[in-house]
Amino acid sequence: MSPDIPGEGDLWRSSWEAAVDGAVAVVDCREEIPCNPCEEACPTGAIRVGPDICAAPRFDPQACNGCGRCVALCPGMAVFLLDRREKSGFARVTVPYEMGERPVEGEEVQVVDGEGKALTGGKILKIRALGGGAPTLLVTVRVPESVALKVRGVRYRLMERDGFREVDKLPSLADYPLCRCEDVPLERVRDILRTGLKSLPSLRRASRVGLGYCQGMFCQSSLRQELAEATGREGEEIGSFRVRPPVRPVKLGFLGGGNA
Amino acid sequence: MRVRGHPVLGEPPRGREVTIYLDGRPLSAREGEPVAAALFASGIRIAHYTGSGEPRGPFCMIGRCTECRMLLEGRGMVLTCLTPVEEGMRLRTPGGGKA
Repeated sequence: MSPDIPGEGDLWRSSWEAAVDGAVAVVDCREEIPCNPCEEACPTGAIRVGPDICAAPRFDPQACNGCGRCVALCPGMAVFLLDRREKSGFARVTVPYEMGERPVEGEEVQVVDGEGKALTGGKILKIRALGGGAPTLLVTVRVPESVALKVRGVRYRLMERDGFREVDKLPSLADYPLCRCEDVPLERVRDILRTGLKSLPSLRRASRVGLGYCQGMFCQSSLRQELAEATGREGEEIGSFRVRPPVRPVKLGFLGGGNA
Repeated sequence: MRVRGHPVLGEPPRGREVTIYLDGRPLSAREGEPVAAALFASGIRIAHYTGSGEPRGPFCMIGRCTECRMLLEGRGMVLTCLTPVEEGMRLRTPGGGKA
């Protein structure tokens, strides 16, 4: 048993200590949100949320059998397995993996923390699926114990292993409806910009983007970006549509006290 | 589309069954539910058509995107996701040269 728990280990002291005997869950869920698949996933009752679905889960490492169902089924990817039985300064961490490019057992991958920052490299010992059509893979990596509690995922990109590949050309954006209310395709806006219009109000009047039913709520940022690219100006210089309350469409009669 | 057994909000209040009309056609709806929800429950996915005739349907369901707008007789254009069903309301599908 290691007396020193790295990082924020005190939060998971009981899991850290139980992990010397084999895989045990580390529940990194501190949000009080209405969610309880972990509780239903656990076959031994080690994770409990209780009747108040918004409560944070309570975890009993002594009851945990290390099966990993909670890891695969937590929608927030907030549960992991920690296994310290090797007792060699290395731990085995199991994280959920839901990306398209499937890693390969035996390969080295980057392990990352909760913010996606690379911690170190780790060897993939095992990849398994829960079965029953659940798509989430459980990836077990071997990492130094000093980072084990910080690992929240693995980063695996085929292009990093095989070099960059050509991707299929994107379909044409010309017909993309930049403004859906007034039915204005992106290409129409670009045509207008080629005429040399330089200000947002004139572009708006010429294209009708922003004058439709949504009053620019959806299209304004796209229009400003197009204008910025065409004129080489920054967003702040371009300004924005004048916004007048109310921010949602209401009938004038309603504002006037009627019940329109 | 009616949400049943919401984990936070629970069961929605179930209004009495009423009839609304879409382009003259009678449809069953629950009083007080959003018009967009009632139309979805009846299989209606198209709220309006763009000028070039493209069909559009509800998108954000919170009164922002305006894609669910329809003509409501007596009130003009309304956002159906924010408009509660009332007995006998008459809706029209605007756009596509039909507005």
